[in-house]
Amino acid sequence: MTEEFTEVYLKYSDKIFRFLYWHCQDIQKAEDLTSEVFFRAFKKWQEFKDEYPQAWLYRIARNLLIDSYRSKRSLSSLEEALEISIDEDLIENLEKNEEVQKLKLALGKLPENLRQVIILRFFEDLSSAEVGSILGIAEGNVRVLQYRGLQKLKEELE
Amino acid sequence: MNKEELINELIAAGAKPSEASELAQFEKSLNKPLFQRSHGFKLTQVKKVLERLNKSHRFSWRRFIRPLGLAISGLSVAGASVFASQGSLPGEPLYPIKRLSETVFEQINPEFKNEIPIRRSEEVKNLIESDKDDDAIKKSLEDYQKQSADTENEESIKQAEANLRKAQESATEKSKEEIEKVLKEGDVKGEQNKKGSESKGDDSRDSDQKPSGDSNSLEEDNSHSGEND
Repeated sequence: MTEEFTEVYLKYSDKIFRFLYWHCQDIQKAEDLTSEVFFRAFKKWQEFKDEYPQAWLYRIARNLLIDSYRSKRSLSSLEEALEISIDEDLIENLEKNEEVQKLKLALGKLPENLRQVIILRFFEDLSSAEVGSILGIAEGNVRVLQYRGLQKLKEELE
Repeated sequence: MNKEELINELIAAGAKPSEASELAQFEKSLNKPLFQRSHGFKLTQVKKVLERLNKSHRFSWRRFIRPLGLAISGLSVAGASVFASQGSLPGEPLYPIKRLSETVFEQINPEFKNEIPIRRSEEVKNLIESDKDDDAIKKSLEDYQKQSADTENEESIKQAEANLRKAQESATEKSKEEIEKVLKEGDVKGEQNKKGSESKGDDSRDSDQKPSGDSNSLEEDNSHSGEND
């Protein structure tokens, strides 16, 4: 079981981390939430392991984001928290990267629903069907949101 | 993402073809950094998650604190009630708890049975001293008779009878008569038991003695246990 979990973590954690980072725009919080996503996922592993794990992990991440906006506190305080460490090299790379900073700023100005579609569809390269499944919306809605999201993002970056 | 596919999707979502093309081009030009955490870092992180998972699966007393607390409170209340009930008399609210606790005590320690006549006789005495009515005292005496019938411990019966004689001193005439009747019946029973045990060749009314029908069973049991050794 440990090996299975490790494999899943290594395969998907960067995607989840990036998704969370673009949303909360804070590396430590993104790392905190990433750990929480996998903790919750592994707790219910037997229940969901036959499902497509990527979509399921993104769903947990999205729900955690919603919860964190509502409670405005770190979710690791709800469970037994571990000391959250950060990849120091990554911090340096991200903070020095102007493109990343510019993108972060622009994404931060998008409404939540548009930001989610843009990140999943274009940054993580998921299909409309996959995005719809994660967000719980129809494919048609995904297309409308991606259109509006691209329009808005273009405005912000120009 | 295929540019053509995106253009079609944008058009399907309501974009004009020119706008769709422009947006598709914009999307293509976007620098989408796929930054990753180092492998070593990820291994450390997954280890922490797994440790946390293991901790959450381990037996934790915290899960039980509330129900344990409730159980302890319940037991404390029960214990206090049992303790408080020991001095209660027939007709009082805690008296049923007293009687119930006696049943439990007897289960734990069968010797407790010998205490029962003493307790019933003390109740009779206390009822008389509390100026309870004759009917209540009579009922209590009947209870004494019923319960002391199960006891053959001479010491216990002697003490109980002493309590009843003491109670007589401050009883009404009616209650005095009732107590006298009970004591006489008790004496008669005692004589009958004495004669019964003498005719069987036993010269004691020790409570360890088995009932007459089973007087040989102890020897039989001993012989069986000898065989089993």
